[in-house]
Amino acid sequence: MRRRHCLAGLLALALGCASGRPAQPPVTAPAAPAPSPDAWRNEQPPPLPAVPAFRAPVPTQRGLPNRLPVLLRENHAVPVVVVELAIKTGVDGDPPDKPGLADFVAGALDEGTRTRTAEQLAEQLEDLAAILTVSPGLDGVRLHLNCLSDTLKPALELLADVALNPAFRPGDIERVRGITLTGLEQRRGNPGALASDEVARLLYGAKHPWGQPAGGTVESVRAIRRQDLVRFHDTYFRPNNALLSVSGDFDSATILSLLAERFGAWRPKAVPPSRLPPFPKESRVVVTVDMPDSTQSQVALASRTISATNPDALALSTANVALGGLFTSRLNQQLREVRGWTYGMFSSVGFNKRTGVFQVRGSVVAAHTVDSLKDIEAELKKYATGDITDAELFHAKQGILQSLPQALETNDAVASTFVTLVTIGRPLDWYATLPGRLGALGREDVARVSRTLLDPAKLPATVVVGPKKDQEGLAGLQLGTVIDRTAEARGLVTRTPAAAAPAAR
Amino acid sequence: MRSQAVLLLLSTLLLLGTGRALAATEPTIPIQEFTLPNGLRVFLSEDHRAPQVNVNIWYHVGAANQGPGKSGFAHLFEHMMFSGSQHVPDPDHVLASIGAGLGGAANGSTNFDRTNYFETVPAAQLPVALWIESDRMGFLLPTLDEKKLATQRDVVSNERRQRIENQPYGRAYLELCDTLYPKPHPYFHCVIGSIEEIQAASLEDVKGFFRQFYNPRNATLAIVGDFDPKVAREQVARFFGDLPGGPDPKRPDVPQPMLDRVVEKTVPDPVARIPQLQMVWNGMKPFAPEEPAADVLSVILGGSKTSRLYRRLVLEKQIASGVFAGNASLGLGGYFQIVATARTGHTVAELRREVESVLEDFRKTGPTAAEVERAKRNVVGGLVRSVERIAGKADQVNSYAMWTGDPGYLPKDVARYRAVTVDQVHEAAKSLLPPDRLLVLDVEPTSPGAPGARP
Repeated sequence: MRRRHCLAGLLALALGCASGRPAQPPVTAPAAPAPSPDAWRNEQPPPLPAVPAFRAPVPTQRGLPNRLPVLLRENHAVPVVVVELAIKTGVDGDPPDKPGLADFVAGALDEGTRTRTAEQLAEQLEDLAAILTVSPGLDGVRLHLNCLSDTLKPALELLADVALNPAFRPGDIERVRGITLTGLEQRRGNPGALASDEVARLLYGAKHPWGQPAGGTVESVRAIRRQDLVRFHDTYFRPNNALLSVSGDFDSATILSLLAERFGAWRPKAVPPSRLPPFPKESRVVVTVDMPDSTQSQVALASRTISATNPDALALSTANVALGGLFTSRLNQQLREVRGWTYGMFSSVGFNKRTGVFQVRGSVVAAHTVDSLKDIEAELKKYATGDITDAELFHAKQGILQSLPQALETNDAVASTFVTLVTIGRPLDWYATLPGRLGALGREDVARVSRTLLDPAKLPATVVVGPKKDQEGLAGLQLGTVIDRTAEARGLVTRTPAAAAPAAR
Repeated sequence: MRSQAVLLLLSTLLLLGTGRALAATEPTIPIQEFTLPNGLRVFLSEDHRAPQVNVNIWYHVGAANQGPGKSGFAHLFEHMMFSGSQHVPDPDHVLASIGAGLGGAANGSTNFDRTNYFETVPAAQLPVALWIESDRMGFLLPTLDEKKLATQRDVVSNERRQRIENQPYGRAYLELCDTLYPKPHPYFHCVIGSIEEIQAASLEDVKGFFRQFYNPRNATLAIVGDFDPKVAREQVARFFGDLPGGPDPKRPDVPQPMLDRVVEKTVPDPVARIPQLQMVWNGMKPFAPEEPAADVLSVILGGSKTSRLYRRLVLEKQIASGVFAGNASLGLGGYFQIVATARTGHTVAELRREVESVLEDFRKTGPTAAEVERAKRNVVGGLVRSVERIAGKADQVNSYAMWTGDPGYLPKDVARYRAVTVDQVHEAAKSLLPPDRLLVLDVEPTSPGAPGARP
C-alpha cells in the first residue's frame, strides 16, 4: 500500500511529474471523474492479524556409545521417516592420483553387500517403498533414506547394511565403472557440467582434489582398483567420522534403541587428518570452452570467499540475495527483463567445510555473450560501491526469513539441513536464531561486505562455455588472461592430471 | 490387493503396540469446497504446521488450446501474467516485499492441458496473494503493451534454448511431439513451441487468449496452509467475487492421431555425447480406466532398479547406462515411452534388440504377482509423499478437480492403484505396446569427438 501511494502520487509530486508535464493550474475546474468501482484494488491489502512466527526445528542431540552422533527431530505430519547417514569425508579424501574415488565408492556402495546382491538390495528396498540414495560431495558422502514410518525397522537394516558391509564385488565394480565412464563422457557435451568443472579448477587449483573434474577423469576412473574402494571405505566409514540425522514420524521412546541395534556394533577407528593442499593464489583468468553448435553460452564468474563461520557470512548471503538471489534482483532484472538475453541470471553464495564460494551463473543467447559479460561486470561494479537500497535490503531479508518454512518443510530437507550445518561449522540452532541476527543486520553491514567481497576486480574466475565465434571482444573486457581449454575439456586430447594450472600462476 | 490389506492390518497392530499414535498411513486431503456466483471453484485445505499458505490457481488452458501456427503461445502467455496488471503493476516486487521472492515460492507453469500460477506466502499475507491473482485474472489487459511482449518473446526463446536445445536429448523430445502430433495438432512442437512462432505472437493474440480462457469459470483456486477458513472465504469473495464469469468453458476436442506402422527417425544431437534409443507408443487421457495398469506397467518395465529393462540392459547385458519407462497421460491423448541410453561403445541397434526381446517376453508371460505388488506399493508411496508440502497438495487438489471433478480424490486415487491386477498389467502391455505401431527415435551425437558420432 505504501509503495503504491509513493509511485502514484507522492513520488511523482516530489520528483516532478514522471511524464515531464509541468503542473499548471487548470483554466476551468474539470468535472471530477466518476470513481472507478475497482479503485479499492489500487491498495495493497494489509496483513491479517499476526500469527505466531515460524520457529525452525532444532534437533535433539544424542549419541551412540561408539561415538556416532545422532540428531533427532520428531514430526508426525506425514507417515514418513528420513534418516541421513553422513560420512564426513568425501572428495577431500581422494588421493592426488585418484580423482573420482569418493564418487566411485558412492556409486558402488548400494550395488551389493556381503549378504545381498545388487538385485536383492533393490528388491528389498522397493518392497518397502523405501528410497535410498548415496550422494558424494566435496566434504562428505551422504546416505539418504526416505521410508514410510511403518517400515522404519527393516529399512534401517538395509541402510546399515549398505553403509557398513558393501561387498565391492568385481562384477559390480566393472558395471559401475562402465556407467561412470559413460557419465563422464556425457559431461563433455553438457555446457553446465563443463562450466562447473572449469570453475572448480580455477578456484581450488589443478592439484587439489576439489579442483578435479566431478567424478574424476577417464584415466583415473579406469585406474581405480577394488582395493582403493575397500581402503577408502575402511578408512573413512567410521562412526567417529559420521553423523546420523533423523527427521520424521518415529517413536521417540524406541528410536535410539532401533538405531543402536543397527549401528551400535560399528567400530570406531582413528581417521587420518585431512592433508589438503593449499588453495591457489588468485589471479584473474577467463577460461573458454568452444561449443560451436550451441545456441547459448553458459557464463560463470566466481571467487572463493569467506567461510560459513565468519561473522560476516550472513551479511554476505544477504548482499547476494539483493544482487542476484531473487527474481527481482539486479542481475536478473538487467539481463532478462531489460535485455531479454537470458531465461535467468542469478548469483549464489555456498559454503563447504573449508571456504565459501560466490558465483554468478546463467545461460545467455550466444550472440550476446560478450555483451552479457559486460552487463554483469557493470552491475557488479555498481553494487560493489555499496549502493544497496533500503528496499533491496528489506526484500532480501524478507526473502531469507520467509522462505525458511518452505526450505524446512519436508523431512528430507530437515535431515539434510542438520548435516549441512554440522559440516560447515554452524550451530544447530542457526535457523531458529536467524530472525534475530537478520533483524540486527544494518544497511552498512551489507554495503561493507558488498564493497570488500563482491568487487568484480577481485573475481578471479570467469568461464565461458559456448560458440567461440561469439566471443569476439572477450579479451578486451579485462576480466583476465583468456585461456582456451576446449581440447582438454571436451576430451579431444588426453587430460593430464596436474597439467598447467592457469589459476595457480 | 489382498496381501496389501493384510500388510495394512499388520501395520495398524504394530502401531497400537508402540503405545503412541504415529501419523495416519492413508493419505487424505481434507477439503472445504465452495463456488462463487461467477463460477470460480474454490478449495480450502487447512494445514497448520507452519505459518505459511499456498495459493494455487489452475486455468484449464494449455498447448491444447493453441491454434495452428501458434506453437508455444500458451506458455508465452503465462509469462505475460507476470508483467503486471491494472492495479498491481509490478507483482514480482510485491511478492519480494512479502518474502515470496526466494526459492521458487512464486511461479507459474504451462503444460499441454493447463496453466498454473502459485505462491507460498506468510500466513498473514494471504490477502496479498489473492489480490495479485485476482487482479491478473480480471485486469491484465489495460496495462499490457508491445514492449512487455517483445521482452518476453526473447526470454521465452532463451528458455527454449536453455531447456531444450542445450540439453542432451532435448531435440528428441521435439521430434516426439512432432511425429505423434503432426500439424495442425496443437501439441505440435511440444509446449515450448518454435522460436519462429513464439516471435510471431502479437498483442492481439494475447488479448484474444486472455478473453477466451482467463476467466473464473475456466479456473479453480486452491488454498492450502495456515488460515482461518472463515477469513479465507471472505477474502476470496472480496477479491474474486465481482469478476465476470466469462464464456462457457469448452475443452478442446481434437482427435488423437494414431500411429499405423513403425516410424523410424534419426535425431542428430550436438549436445548429447552418447547414443540413445526412444520407443514411443500412442497413449491415453488422464484418469482413463486403463491408466493405473499402464502406470504400474511402466514401473515394472523401466521405473526402477528391479525393472525388467534395467535388469536386462544395465545389469545383465551391460549395454545401457540407464533406462526409463513412463506413461504420460495427456488431455488430447498421451504417449507411453521407453528410453534406453547406451553405455560407451554400444549402439542403438543393440539397445533396440534387447528392448524388443524384453517386450516380447513380457507380452507372452506378463508380470509376476510380486512385481505388480512392488510397483503398486511404490506408486502409493509416492502419493503418500506427495502431500508432504502444502504447494504439492494444492497442485494435486486442482489436478484432481480438473480431471475427475473431485478435489478430494486422493483416497480414490490410492484405491485405483491398489486395485490393479496381474492380468490388467499383462493386458496393458499387449494392447498399449504393439510391436507394429510405434515411433523409434535414434539419437545420434554429432559433436566433434563424441564417441558415438559418425565420422
